[in-house]
Amino acid sequence: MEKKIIIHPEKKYAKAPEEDLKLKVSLNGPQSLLINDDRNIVLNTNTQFDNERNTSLKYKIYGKLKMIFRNMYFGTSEYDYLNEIMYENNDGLSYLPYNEFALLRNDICREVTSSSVLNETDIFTGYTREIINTGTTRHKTITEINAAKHNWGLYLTYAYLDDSEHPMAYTLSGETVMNFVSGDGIPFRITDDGAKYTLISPVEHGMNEGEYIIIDDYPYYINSIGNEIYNSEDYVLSILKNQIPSGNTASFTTSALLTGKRCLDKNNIEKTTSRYYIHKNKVLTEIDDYILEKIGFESPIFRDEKKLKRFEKDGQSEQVFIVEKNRPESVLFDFTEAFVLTGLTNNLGYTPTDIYISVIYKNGDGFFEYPPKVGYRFNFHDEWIDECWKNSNETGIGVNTFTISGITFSGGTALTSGDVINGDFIEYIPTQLKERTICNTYHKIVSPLEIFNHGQNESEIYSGASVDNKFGLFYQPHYKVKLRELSPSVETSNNAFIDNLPQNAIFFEDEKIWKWRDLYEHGYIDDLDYGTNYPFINGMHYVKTDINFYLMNEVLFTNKINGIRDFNAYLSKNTLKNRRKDKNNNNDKMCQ
Amino acid sequence: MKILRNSDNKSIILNIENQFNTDLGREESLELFEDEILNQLINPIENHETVRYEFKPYSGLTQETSELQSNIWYYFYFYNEAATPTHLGGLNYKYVGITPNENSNITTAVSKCFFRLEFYKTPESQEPSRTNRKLAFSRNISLISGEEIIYTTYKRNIHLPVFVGTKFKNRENMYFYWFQDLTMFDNPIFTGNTFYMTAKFYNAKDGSIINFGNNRTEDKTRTDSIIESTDLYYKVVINPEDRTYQIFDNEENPIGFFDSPINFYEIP
Repeated sequence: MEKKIIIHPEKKYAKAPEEDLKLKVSLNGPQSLLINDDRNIVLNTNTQFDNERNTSLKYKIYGKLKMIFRNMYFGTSEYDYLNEIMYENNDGLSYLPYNEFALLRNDICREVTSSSVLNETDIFTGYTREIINTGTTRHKTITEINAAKHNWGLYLTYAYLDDSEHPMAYTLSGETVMNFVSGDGIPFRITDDGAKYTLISPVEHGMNEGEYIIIDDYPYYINSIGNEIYNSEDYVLSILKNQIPSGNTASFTTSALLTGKRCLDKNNIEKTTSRYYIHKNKVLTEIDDYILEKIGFESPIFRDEKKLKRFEKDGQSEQVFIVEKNRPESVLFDFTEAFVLTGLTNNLGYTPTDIYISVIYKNGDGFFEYPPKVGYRFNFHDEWIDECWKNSNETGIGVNTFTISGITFSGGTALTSGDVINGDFIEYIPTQLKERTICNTYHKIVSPLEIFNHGQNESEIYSGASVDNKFGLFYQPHYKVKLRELSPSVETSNNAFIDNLPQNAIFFEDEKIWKWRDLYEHGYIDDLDYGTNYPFINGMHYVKTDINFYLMNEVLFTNKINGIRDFNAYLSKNTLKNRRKDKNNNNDKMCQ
Repeated sequence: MKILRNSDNKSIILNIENQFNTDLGREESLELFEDEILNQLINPIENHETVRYEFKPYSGLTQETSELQSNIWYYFYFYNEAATPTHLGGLNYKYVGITPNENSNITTAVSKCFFRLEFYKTPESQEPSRTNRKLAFSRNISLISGEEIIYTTYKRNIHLPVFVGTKFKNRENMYFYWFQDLTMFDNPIFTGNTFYMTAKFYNAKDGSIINFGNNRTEDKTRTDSIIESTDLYYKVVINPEDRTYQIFDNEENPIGFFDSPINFYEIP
């Protein structure tokens, strides 16, 4: 007979709630007793609900998507059609029409009735075939059917693999570049501060005083973290020079940049050093698996900018139409079929607890280079362009090339289930059995010069910009959706025969113990706010995700610096330059 | 297992003396049996979610057959006694007492007039009648959301009882919502993918309600000869797979397009 251990309810996971195992029969309560022959069963609707809820693997993914964007690049085009539809302001500056960025395009081609006239003696018997199409078909035909999927595509994805060989780069001003791979760790800038080296990372390094940092395979004790700037402990660490072996000084003097990994125990480097990699996200849905609609009358607080444009060419009759520069959008997305969380294994070898809503620019009109470039938040700088963008195409996305008026356009194709694209930059902490997102991935789209030239190749506008490294717009494609929650506590046991041992259990050879993190039940939220409690009805969990979708101008959005920022210096500099400060993303760590 | 409605006492009697044999629960097959029974007895999982159905997209918008639209056209003809055939020129609200002036100015009464599309279910494979049909849902179409033409007498637009549903125009008569999972219906009348649609006009000016049929007749006393199953309804068939619907006439031809709109005729 198989030996099993029955776990007391409060031992199921850390801080698990107590359950009353006694049967109390009261005059009024949710319980009643069903007598079935000689067998007694307690009927409890609450318990039954919990059972059904935790058995269900279906998740309904829906939510709100708000476009937060200001269309600010102005320029010229060699493409006649685009010239005709561009928004022209009072100073004669031309902008791409907002429909090229819109989640829900409104320049659709559809049937409308021509103007009919009726006088008192007429009998209206119905429209004759005088339906005319509105909306142009000269470039691409946008219909009501594809209007929501021409520019952008939404997909569900999950991290199914990790890649520690993904090429990355980090560029300082003056074109100091460090090329490395994701497995090398976090990039740091080195400052020689006399008796110590100060390492400053553009992302939260996640290290603590007393731990070690592995640089060029050698562990260095972290003597302190932070400096005099607020919040700098997340970005700055110091190591004393006297601990550096004489043969290792080149690690700190050869370049202004280096990479480092977190290590907890220098005597057990292999088992206590964090692993660094990027997620490889696999697509779970097709482009037709969701609907996108306006949310009633809701719209973001930002203003519309539009005007009537008159156009006449080659003897054609004058056309008058509305062209928009900005149209803040708020739309509802709804994946029509419930997502069933089964049969998937994530990069760590167990059923994923998170999936992602991936918003990918599809470039239906082909006004941008495609595929989009992929990078990370530390690849965006206020004053200069990062070298990483020269060769960082997202190769997992297909391209559909077409030619109109002698100009070649590179539109995108829809992703299909099974496609793989790059995901976030991750640190895996082996002792805690968990991942930490170091920084999100970003996609960048740039316009070809012949289609829309806004000076994207001019280094006078943006230092380092060139024909091979143009600046453009960027956005975060992947948004995490939590389906289940793992306990933050690591459980251990030397006995493998534990009932309901989670899939994430790992045997630690040195300690001869199993370690795992318990899977919280739906409906349980611990005192640290870990847990899930989604509405459960119709046999599925309703997971609502609201996304503020920031589409940012690479040059003009000057709040993109990663790491720490000296507020006084920042404000002083930007006040003097009278530069526009876009304070869209308050998640940024403002630092320098 | 179902608890059927009858006159029996449905209370569960709690005996003063109960024996709780906790060791029984350790038998896994019995536990499984328990779970199955409990799932059926209390809080059975049923999917009551409604989903959106749209008019089945069709080509014809452009030369390119892959470029689709889902416009749906409704024409409501009022009864014109003086004309032959009887509904000639019936696309005019003056036949229900709404003058072009009121129509153009959108008086309070005009703004509150509406057509109601009623969708009925019948037992599978049965023709609809008042005895076997069951109202599933209805959609209201406001008078003022109809198409407009210029009325030269006033040099203003007046509304017509012609409606076209597109994504960016009058969506209320374009989508409808129905259950995704029909297996949870106990009543067989609600299963199946076929609905029958009829129409009414609610006239806020005089409080009258006008019924519509699906064909025109030369016989002005045709109310005596209406065959409900063939004269009142259009068949609406939903496809839960792609979440679309189509509407068919009595000859099973799909309708709702510009060239073959859904024509409703007032029954006098």
